[in-house]
Amino acid sequence: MGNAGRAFIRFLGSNGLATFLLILLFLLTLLGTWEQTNTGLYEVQKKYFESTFFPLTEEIPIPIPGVYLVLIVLSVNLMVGGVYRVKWQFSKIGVLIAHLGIAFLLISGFFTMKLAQHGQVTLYEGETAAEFVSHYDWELAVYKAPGPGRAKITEHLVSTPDLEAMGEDSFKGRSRKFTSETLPFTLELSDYLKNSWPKLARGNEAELPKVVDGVYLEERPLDATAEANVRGARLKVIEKNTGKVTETILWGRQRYPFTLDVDGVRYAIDLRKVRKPLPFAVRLNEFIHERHPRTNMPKVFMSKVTKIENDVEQGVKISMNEPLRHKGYTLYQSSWGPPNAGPNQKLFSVFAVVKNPADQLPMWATLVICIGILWQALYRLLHYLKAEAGRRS
Amino acid sequence: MSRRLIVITAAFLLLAGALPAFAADGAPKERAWDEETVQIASTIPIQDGGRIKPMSTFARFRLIAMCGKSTLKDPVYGKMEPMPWLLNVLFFPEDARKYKLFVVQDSEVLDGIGLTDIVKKKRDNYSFNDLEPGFDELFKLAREYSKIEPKNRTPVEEQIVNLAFNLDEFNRLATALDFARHYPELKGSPALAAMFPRPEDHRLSGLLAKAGEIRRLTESLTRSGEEQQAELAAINRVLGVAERNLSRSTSLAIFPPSVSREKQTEWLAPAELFRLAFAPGSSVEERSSVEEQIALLGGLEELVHVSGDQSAFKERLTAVQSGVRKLAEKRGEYKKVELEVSFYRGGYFTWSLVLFILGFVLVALCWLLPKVRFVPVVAATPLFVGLVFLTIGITMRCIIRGRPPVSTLYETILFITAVAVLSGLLIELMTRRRIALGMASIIGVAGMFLASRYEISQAVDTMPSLVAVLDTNFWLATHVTTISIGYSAGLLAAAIAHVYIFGKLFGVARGDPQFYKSIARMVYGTVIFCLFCSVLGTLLGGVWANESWGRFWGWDPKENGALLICLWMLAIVHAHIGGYLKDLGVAIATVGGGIVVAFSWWGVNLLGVGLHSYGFTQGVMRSLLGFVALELVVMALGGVVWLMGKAAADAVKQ
Repeated sequence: MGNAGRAFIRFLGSNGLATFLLILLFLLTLLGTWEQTNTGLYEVQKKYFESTFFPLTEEIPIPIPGVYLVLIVLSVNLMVGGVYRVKWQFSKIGVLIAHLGIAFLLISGFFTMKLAQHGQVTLYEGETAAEFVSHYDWELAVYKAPGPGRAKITEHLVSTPDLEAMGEDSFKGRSRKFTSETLPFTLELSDYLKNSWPKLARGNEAELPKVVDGVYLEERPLDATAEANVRGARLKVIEKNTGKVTETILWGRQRYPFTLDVDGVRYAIDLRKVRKPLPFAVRLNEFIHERHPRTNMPKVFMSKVTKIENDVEQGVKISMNEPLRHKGYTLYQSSWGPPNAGPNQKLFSVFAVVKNPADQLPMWATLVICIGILWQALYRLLHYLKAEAGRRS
Repeated sequence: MSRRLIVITAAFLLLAGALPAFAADGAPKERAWDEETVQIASTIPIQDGGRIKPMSTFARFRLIAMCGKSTLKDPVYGKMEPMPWLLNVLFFPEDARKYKLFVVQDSEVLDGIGLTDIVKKKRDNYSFNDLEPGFDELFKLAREYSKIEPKNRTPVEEQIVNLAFNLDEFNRLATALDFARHYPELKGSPALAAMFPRPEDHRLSGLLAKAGEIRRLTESLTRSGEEQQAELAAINRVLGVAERNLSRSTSLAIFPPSVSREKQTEWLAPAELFRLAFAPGSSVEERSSVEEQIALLGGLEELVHVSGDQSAFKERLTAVQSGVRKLAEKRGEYKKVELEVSFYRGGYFTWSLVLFILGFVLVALCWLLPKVRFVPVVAATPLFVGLVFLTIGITMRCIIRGRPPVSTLYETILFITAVAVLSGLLIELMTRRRIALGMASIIGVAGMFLASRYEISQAVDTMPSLVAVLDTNFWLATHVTTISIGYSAGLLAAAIAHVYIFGKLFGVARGDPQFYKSIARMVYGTVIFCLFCSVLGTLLGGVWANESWGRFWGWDPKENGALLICLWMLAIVHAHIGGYLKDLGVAIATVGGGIVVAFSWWGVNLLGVGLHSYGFTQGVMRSLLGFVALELVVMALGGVVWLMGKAAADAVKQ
């Protein structure tokens, strides 16, 4: 390795770079926090905390490094610094352990970001579910509408990235076709909106966006709370045999999917939040909510559920700070409703669902960091006391 | 020197002698309730804000909300503590309506409701009667403004909403016992008149005691023919009047139910007793379950009638108190009531503020007398005693609520102050430079003053019930406590860093390089301590979030606030190790760290977003901005010191 290479390595592991990165992280965190007063957490997270670069403003598109990139460089700095710069001495053991813990924490954060799945299950008392719904991601599902009784359903899915790409400004005015060999039709999607609301066209079709069956989708500004945005699109179903075209509007909050009959078979087409299977089913038996007496302040939220797996049932209580963990999935008590339910009205409970293989890593990393800092702090304190005693004597 | 010592000793004795006077109660000019009566009334438990508390605590926070102070000072009626004030409101409402009680922060509020002619000062207190002519306009405006989100209201709109709320609350209290003053007329119902032949039986408690009989009577009248309908209507009219008379008493939930806590958590107000006794379908068992409470209601009525006779009043009050107490004890809900009364009567936090002020004065003297060895010990004594008082207060709060020391924003102030003073004393013990001592006294005074201001400005119970997610002693004891210690260390480090900067600026101890080395070590050591606690607290918070919500980190503003402290302190440490920041640089950056701590502690709550917005506060923004501006000036002065040092070094070179 030449001088330039060594200098570069030295720079990569330097305290100066660490200081610069820490200050940069500080500024990004401050900006990201401040922006939450105007923008929703999801958008802020995407822009500042999960990006490699983001433009300073729309008008001044200077690329600013995002937290994701800064953390990667900081990890490199940490490792290179650990190997080349830090002296492996007894007096530095605490520092080394703490840095090891931080590296561990950064790695667990990386795994969480890449591997964790988040969503929710909403159940009314008496209902059972074996799948959960994503908070933000949307998909288009096509399947043969099931008849009476429980039948196995095979779904054809248009994935989130394919759909979301259509919502970008650069895609406006264009359409995209999706098909499958096993389906007797092709789907043509256009006017995909990230937040929309269906409206009745009252005789003024000429001034409105594409109206289908007297209904059109009104585009709405993105809500600060990402979960509140409802996707919508215009759909043409083109039958492969006959070339017949059926047009409709798909909207993410439709109660029932759009259906059509082709060759005597009924198909359902549903624009919905992504659904993912759970390896077990959950039935909500009872939801209990208590308030502090003579106030509206919540005291206890608790769901009495039954976990069903291979026809084996087990009663479980899920409450605030006491989730259900099973097979890598964790169900947390998240919300409930309806808010103004009467005494005999059925309640629903909302469980946040997380699958995160790196779930427990941060706890271990925390432990390692604390041991390191505590060790070093005590070591330094003893030295300091010794020096002070010497000074006084 | 001896003369100086005499002066110092005299000043100490003077201040020490002034302490009892500072905390002593002044007697009101009228309705002077004797101490024993006040004590009995104070220990009557009441359910309010989701918990059982002494009546004196109930009175305290009602008075603070209305008056803006914990003691009412009326030009005519004199000084009144919360409990005597509440007794007057309940039993002498006509007088209470004349008290200059309601604080109006800005006379624009009165202009807005057409009461310009009564305005004397921009901020003043007015009586219920003073404000009465403006009620129509006030309540109309308040209804309108209450539709606006609180954070979007102007200060005047906010004050109008608050004033209307306080007036309504006051009126509820002043009319709460009206049921004992006005009895329904029984003349229209011969059957009822026969059932209650003596006038004293017309009392509501008498009516409720015979609820079963009255219900049976009305049922039989309902079944009988047309000729009985007039009687039935008369009885219903009487019951309607009784219920209306009781309807204002809903805030006085002082009757514990006879059943266990598990079966029924809610206590009963007089109005609810009526509903239970007369509720359609209520069984004999249900009616008999309120017999003891109805007897206590009779006691309350008695109190209204004997309120002019102090000794009779005290006697009846004792009976009511012991009746309520017995019922509460049966349910295991009286245990902490007397402790809470002692807590507020003890005035521990006021004492600690006074002692910290005294400590500060003595530390200042100690700087003036650098060669007198025992002065620091004298100065440290009031600080230590103040810390003991503060610790006793915090401990009593923990026992009363059965929770760790920090679970609300108010409690963070107390805890952070205590930890900062303790850390300052410990650092002083190690360094003996009289610097940490000074900073401990300054933080002690500032912290206790802030706590007092916060309690007054928020005007709500400082020991509230907690929302479900926060109701976990393990995480409150670990995460919240550790983070608070981190805040404390960050502020103490920043305070010591001020000494470094101002010392250099004004050329203090110019010939003693060890002096600054020692301060620099103190600052850096405290920064490391802050870093340790902040990192540990932040990570523990992440572990809690992972347990509760399924994510270690959610970029919530409060989480980010804690992270900002960690990042800032880490940057200082790395820059110092890398040689980019020398002692002065560390001191300047540590003052900046104080700003970061203040932002994390208070600032993020002002953003009003995120899961941690439980600590959201109004009216803090101005103080926070003032603090930030001040600290930025100190940092700039640090820059001036650096330039001066550089210029001096250049001059030496030349």
